[in-house]
Amino acid sequence: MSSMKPTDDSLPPHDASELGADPATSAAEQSRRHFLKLMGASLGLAGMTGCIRMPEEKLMPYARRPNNRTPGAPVSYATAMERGGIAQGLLVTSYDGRPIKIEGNPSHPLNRGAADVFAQASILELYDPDRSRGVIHRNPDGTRSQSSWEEFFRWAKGVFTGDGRGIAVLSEPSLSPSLVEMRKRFQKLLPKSVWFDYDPHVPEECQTLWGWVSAPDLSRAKVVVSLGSDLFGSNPLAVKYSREFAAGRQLSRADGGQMNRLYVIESTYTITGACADHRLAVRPSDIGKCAAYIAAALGETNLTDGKSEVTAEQKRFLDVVIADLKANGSQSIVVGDRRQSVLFENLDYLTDWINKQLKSPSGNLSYHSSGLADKDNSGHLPVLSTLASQMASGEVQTLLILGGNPIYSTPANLKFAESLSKVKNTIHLALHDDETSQLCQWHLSKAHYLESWGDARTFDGTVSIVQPLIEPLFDGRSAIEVLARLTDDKEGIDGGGLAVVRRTFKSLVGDKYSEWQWKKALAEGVVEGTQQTVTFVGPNAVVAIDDSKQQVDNSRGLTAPGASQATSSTEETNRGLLAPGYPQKGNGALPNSKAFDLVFFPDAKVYDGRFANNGWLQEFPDPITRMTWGNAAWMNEKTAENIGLKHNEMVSLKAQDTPEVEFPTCIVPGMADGVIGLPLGYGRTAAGAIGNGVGQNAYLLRTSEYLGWRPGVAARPTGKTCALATVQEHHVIDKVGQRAIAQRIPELIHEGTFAEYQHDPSLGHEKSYPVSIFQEHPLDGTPVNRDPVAPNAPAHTFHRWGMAVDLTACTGCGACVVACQAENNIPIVGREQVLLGREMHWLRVDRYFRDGERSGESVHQPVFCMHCETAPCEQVCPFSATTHSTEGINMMTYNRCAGTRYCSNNCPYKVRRFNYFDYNAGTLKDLYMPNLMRQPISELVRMQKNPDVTVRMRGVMEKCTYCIQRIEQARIAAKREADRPIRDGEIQTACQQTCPTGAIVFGDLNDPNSRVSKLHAQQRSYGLLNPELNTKPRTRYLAKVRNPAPGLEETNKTDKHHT
Amino acid sequence: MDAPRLWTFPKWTNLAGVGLLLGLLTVPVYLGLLLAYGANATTLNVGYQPKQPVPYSHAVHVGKLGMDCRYCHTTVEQTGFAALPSTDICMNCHKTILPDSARMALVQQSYVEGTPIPWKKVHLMADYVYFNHSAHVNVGVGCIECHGPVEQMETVYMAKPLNMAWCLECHRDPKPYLRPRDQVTNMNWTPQGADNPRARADLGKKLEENYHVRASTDCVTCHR
Amino acid sequence: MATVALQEIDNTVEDPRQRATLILGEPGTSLHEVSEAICGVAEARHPPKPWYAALGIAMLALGLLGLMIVYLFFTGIGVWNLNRPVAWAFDITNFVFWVGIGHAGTLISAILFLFRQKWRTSINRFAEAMTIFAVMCAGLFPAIHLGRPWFFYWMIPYPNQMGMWPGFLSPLLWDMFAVGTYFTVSLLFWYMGMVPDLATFRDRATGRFRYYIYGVLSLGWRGSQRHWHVYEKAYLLLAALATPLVLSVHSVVSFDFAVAQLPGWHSIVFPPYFVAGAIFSGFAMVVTLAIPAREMFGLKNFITLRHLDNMAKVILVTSLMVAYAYATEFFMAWYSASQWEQFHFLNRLFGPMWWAGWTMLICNAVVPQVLWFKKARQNVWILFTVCILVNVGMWFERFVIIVIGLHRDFLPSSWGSYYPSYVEVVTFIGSFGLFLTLFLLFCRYLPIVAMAEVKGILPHGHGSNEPGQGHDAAVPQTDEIGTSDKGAVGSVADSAPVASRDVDSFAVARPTPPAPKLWGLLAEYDSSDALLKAAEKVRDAGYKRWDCFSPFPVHGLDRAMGIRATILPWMVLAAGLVGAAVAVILQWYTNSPQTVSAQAGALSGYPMIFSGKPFWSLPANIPIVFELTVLFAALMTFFGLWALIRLPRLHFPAFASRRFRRVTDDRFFLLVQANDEKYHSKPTRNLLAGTNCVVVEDVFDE
Repeated sequence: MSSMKPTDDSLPPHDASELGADPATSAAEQSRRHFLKLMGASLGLAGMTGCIRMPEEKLMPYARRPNNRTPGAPVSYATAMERGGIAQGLLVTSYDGRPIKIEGNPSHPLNRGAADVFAQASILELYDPDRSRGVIHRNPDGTRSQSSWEEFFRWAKGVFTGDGRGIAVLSEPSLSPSLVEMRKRFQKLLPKSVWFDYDPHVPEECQTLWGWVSAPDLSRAKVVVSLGSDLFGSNPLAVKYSREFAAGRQLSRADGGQMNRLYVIESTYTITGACADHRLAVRPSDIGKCAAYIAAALGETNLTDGKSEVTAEQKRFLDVVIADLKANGSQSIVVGDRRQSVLFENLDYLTDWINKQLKSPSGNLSYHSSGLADKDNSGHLPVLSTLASQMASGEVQTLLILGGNPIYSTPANLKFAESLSKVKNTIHLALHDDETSQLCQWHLSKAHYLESWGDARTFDGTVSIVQPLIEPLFDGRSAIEVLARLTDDKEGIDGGGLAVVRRTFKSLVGDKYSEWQWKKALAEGVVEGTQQTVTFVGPNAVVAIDDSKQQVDNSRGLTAPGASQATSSTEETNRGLLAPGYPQKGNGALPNSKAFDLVFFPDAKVYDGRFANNGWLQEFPDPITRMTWGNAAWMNEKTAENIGLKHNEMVSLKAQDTPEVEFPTCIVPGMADGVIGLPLGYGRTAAGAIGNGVGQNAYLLRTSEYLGWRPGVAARPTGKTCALATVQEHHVIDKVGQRAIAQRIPELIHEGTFAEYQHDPSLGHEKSYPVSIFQEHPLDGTPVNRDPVAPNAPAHTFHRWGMAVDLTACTGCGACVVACQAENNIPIVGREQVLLGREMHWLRVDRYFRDGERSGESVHQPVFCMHCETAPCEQVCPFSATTHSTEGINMMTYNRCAGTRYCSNNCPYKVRRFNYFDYNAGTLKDLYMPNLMRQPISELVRMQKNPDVTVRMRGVMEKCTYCIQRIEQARIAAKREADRPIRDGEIQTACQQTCPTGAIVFGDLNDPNSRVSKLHAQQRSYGLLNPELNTKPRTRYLAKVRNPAPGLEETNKTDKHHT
Repeated sequence: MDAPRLWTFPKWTNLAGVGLLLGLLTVPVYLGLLLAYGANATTLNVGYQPKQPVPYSHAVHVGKLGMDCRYCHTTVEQTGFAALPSTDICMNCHKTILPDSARMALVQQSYVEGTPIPWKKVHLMADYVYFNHSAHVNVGVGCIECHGPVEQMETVYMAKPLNMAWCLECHRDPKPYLRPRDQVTNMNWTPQGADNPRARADLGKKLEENYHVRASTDCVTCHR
Repeated sequence: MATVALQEIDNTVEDPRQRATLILGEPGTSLHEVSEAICGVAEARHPPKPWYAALGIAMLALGLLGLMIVYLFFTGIGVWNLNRPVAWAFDITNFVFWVGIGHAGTLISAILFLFRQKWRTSINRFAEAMTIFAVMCAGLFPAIHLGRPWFFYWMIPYPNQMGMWPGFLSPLLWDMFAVGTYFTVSLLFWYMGMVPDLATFRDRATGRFRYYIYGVLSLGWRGSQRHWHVYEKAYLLLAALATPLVLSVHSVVSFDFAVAQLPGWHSIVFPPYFVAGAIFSGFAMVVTLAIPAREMFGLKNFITLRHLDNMAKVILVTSLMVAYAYATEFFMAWYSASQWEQFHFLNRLFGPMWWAGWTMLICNAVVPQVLWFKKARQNVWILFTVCILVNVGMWFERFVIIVIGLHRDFLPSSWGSYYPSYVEVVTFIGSFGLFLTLFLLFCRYLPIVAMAEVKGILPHGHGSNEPGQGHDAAVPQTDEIGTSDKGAVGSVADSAPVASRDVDSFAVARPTPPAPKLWGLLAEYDSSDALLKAAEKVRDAGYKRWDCFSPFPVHGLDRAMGIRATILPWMVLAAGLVGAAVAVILQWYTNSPQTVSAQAGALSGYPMIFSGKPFWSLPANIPIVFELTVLFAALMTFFGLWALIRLPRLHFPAFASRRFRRVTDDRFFLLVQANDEKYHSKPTRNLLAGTNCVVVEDVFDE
């Protein structure tokens, strides 16, 4: 076997052939996926033949077993994933050579164990069958054919020569030290070449392109003011922000807890806004005004105007904010989102100024040395325009695009496709043969980060090594490897990415380098001593720790290298708060009833479109709209009425210089009046089978002047409708339903203010902790064994599993949903099935708009199987397929289920999911084809599946199991380790593991000292629907406690003291 | 006018009633036979003995040479899966012992070329059954309890039915199947005073308590 | 042929002085004419044209049903638009709908029988048939609605390799037992009732094929009074068993909902409400079918306006009960102050599926009120329309309960919607195809009216022998028989005909060379009265081996014959108790703690925790105990009957007599066997001749 080259013991297995040939010893595990289906077949066969023998299965042991490899035991490896230039530290579980699950790396400063939806779902990207294979070349006659790497490099030798004149590189922003090194090498070799960076989303706080990241530490802030920044949403730092924010609202502490306060001023609706104690919806232009108003109130005198421009309502809100800021001083922080202002610097300037004025530790700004000089053309839009014009004029003859999808995502006015056609030699390195690749001369298959060596930096500069877990499945190569070949890097050519990364590592660590250091970095996932955080202590302090001698411009607080051109060109508008062309007057009343503000934002599911072919993400419900598979124009009811629209109706949007684009309308309460929100990332045409043709492309309306938002857009109803694949409520339009929802919310979600909580920790709700039926003597708390099998077994082997969900901490980000999906082999079902109401997520995050849908105040509530002690689902099953374990888990035995679906009917929480089709087999398009005409479950789909969890066939009910496979593993491990008790926290459910705020806690209720027991004992804990139905749920919620400011309290009209 | 012919049943048809009665009696007989067939060892695949690519003899290695199970099935105490030996384990001895035997050809080839040996799986559980070897071996369930007298098997066959009702028998009352942990791989172990059922029962009880055996019959113990 | 009334005759007026007639016809309507009319349907060379048309359409629908089921099986239940939260919709709606339809038959057969409602006899047969076919349609849906229908048999408690037992707490399991028992008992009841009529078919058969088919089906029934005696008891027992069963089936079906805790389902009013609704819809369906059937097959004399009127009244009463249940539900929702309940009922009428709610309410509670008016009850068209609307309304009732109940339950986040897919709609239509195909075939090939029972309620059937139909009429018939006998054995008297009033002698004596052994003497009577009196004589003469034969059970005859009461009731009681014990032990053992059965392998019980309930709880076991009690008892009734009367025996010496063939039509016979101790050729013959018989005939054994 060719893969049996001597392997470094410490390395993860990364030979794909091991898998391709036959995953050693895992035949048994693989076969688990044929599964239940065989059951059906065998019944038929048994009837026919009567004496059928077993189907023959083969076991393929290793010829030589690598050290440290125990067949059948999962292993975790640390790696990192870069998004928006920021690395997330990850821990990837590999099972017999197949990576199957991604979690956050506990030692990584950004993740601390948690991972966002994108990082977790990227495991599916690895196995995406639509990924391109190898190299594709466009022939002179316009046809395209499969080529090879060698052919490409042969060709490239003749192109990447000379002084580099006419050669341009367009790369995704990255701070990967190795890539930076290769880039320097490239530019040294081809000195006249130019290098550009482009990312359709300038990550809000992460101006990586300029070598710095603004990453405020929210954990110490008592007051957080977000000016349009979606801290907890698709932000690459969301995991960190969520964690820090939740740290500031720990009610479970013994000292009675503490509580920070979050103000959000925004124009669309984000989950950050949903988490806010106070939220103000304003038009995007007003965000700058609000910032100016705050700054002015804190003493900034340099502003031309702005103070007078806020409305009375805004003033009322802002005055409270200002008072709170002043009162808390350095314990407060203001975060701005540069996308939301027309030209972002002004908001940057203002937020910086305010934070310094407050002596806020906002200065958790990290400086990274990208090591690149100013002339590197790093930058953002201005340089992209430059590139486009250079391409159009023919100055650029060779364009190497490293990642990204500029044809799809560049601003419409740059006419990038047109410019690209003028370029003689075009090369695109990408995971998919996408829109850009199809226009390029060469498409190079990019290796997934789980297949290639690399490194990356996170917000504070910490470097992580990206180590592969599997050999490239589709003959892909990383950017580093391609550059190594192009630059004739001998070491890189011979040793591949690994050699380059080790070389970089050596230079990073310097004298301290040792083999042990390297292994440690691999094992821990972070390179020690690479952190570069800078903290500002005062408004005018200058700190530059970084050894790269970065200059910090005192007057502006910050100026990043490379940004000079960009900033100087906008110097004039820095202080003026309004963008040219924006209607200056009449804030409330629209100048023209059909002219609206568009706000562009990355989609919560597919981000900027790069994840469009990821089924998990397509089917991940947007936390606000609860919409899957597509995007829509978000607007509030008033705006819709103004246009003449209703929910689900198509609206046509037209701006100057852009085509008319149609979107379905989605009514989102809480959007600012006159604002239409457009999630980007949809309308892909060459994403793959999953992502093609899903949603509408909002990039078509985006121009380089208006990246974040644009005013003066005309909207008109087209008269057509389009069903939105939402997973909740399917938009209740009848009054009976709306009234009922409003009436029920206070019972479903217990809420209260911090003041109320301090006064009465039960928040006015009757405490109704049910007496467990598993405890015959609940008073003394001793667990009583009801097990009929082993009545004499010791107490520590008896558990009462339970869970607590703290709604105060939950931001609604939905990371748990994807974690659960990955862990439990949950299939995707496709848009049509979602429209029918058949999505399979075991865990859903319900979103309720608090008072009907008017104010737009919303709450999120994760709902999964409650494991009710008196589970209504069990008694109705005629097959005994769902029963209760002696430890209190509501068990679902798939192989006993024949699918009456009665349990689902009788489940008041509707958490049971039914396999209406064989969702794992074939493609989503042929679900309605008879089984015999369908493809079986594909090899790639199988490879991702968790071998510890049955893949369910059609006709079978399924639901949350409390990750029973993790419980059983822990139990067996504890037994193996001298029969010790299972430690509290040892078992983490997948959702709990990834929750950045720690809102989900799982454990043993028999142990009075376990975290979950203590949380259950809190007075604010309640069982959903428990008082009404006496279901005695094992999963209990902790009431949501908000912390409204004294001056604004009356605007929160919640009636939590219901009778 | 001719009246239509008068049809009658011949006299023997009166026996039809008796026949019907007997026919009805066959229903319980049939059901009984059906159950017997279902519980039959052949139906349960007991004795399934596929031909293996390498004529490896457990009878020689275990029975005669007295090798411990764990020498080859190395992971049995650590993981759910009792790994089959990789070829280099075979070659630990067979580099010197019978290296050129024809019976060793495939093993030699595997060792040289690095290709795995395609063993046929004998103990095939349904795919939705999650059996964990380590959970059993570490609480004193002997190999022999499920795999039968492997030390006498020239070619391994399935000795026990491995169906759910059979699993449940032990899970409901594991005592008779327990042995001291250090005797798990001992194929010839007999409890002291094996002829005394009382002593065996006492030992089982003692071991169950010592090892905190809790053979659960919850569905999730095996099905997830 | 039967007299077909051209105009509807109003026989619905109750004259206190005289019972209204249940069967219409000219004054001379005789037993024979009943046979003629009913058998005529099956014996006609060509059925009416509409029958062909109807069968064609029905079979087309049946074919579509087959197609849909094949598609469903090979693709997945997802081809139906079920979803979360609406996991049941058309499937269970159709199931409950059909089960409800299936209530009328056994209700008419059993409950009206127990209440001595003689008008039932004209309609009970095809109402029963309707029941059988409706329950078959009903049974189809739970089977195909499963996600993995091939595992349907897991519901049956049998020892298996998994050591698993079904969940006895599940209403679905109770349902399977209830519907299964109901189907079995209904089938037995139907078939048992049909045996004498099948014998009529047999005896009238002119072709060999028909004779053998009906001969086998009728098990050699010959109208023996000794048989009738046990038969009547068995029928009564079965009726008595079926009566609570009728009430229980829909009660148990209602548990599917009432045991669940969904708002709109979890209601204590459901069992009576469902039973009333079932009777309501069942009667509506009977009328819906009866009106075209009586038109098509000329049965207006049998299914008279009085029958329709009676059924209309039942429909009206049950409609009121259903309306009352609706009112109760609404009241309870308001009175309980449960917000879930209140919302559910508001949502029924004002939510997104308001149309379904109002259809149900109007069709079931409002429309039937026109039946208060006699004019409406007697206008076939109005009645037909009302019944169709009731059927529609009752289907929607189930739809409303199931779909509206499910689509918005507790958590607004899981609210959903539902609309059917084409597969569901076609499957539903196809179920009508199955139903109608079976029903049309039944109409063509089986007795659609219980002839024996109708004959029993005819005025002369009571033995009063009042109408003109008397001895005179018999004279020409005997002639015919006497002269046309050929090929049959032993039909000729070996001696001179007995001198008797009005009795003609046998014209031809035809001695047969191998003298057959005389088996008995057969005397024919033309009225039950004559037979009764003759029987008393023979009894008093001390004969043991003798029997009477009649087309229907002649009341008082068994006493006249001195037949001892049958032990069948005791056997049935015993079987019922065994059934109850089996059910209790089964449910207790399979859920018992292992100490009882630890080492029993596949036979071991498997206690499991269901919803935190006790391992074994008697209340939850009651439905199955009840059903098994009834099932065992009913099986014992049925099989006990045949065992006691020793049928099937297809051969009977007297069948060789052409005269005797009319025993299932309109004639009465007394037979003394030659092997009776008291039998002596002459005296016995004289004794019989001395009765009021038409003729005495020798019967020979082969």
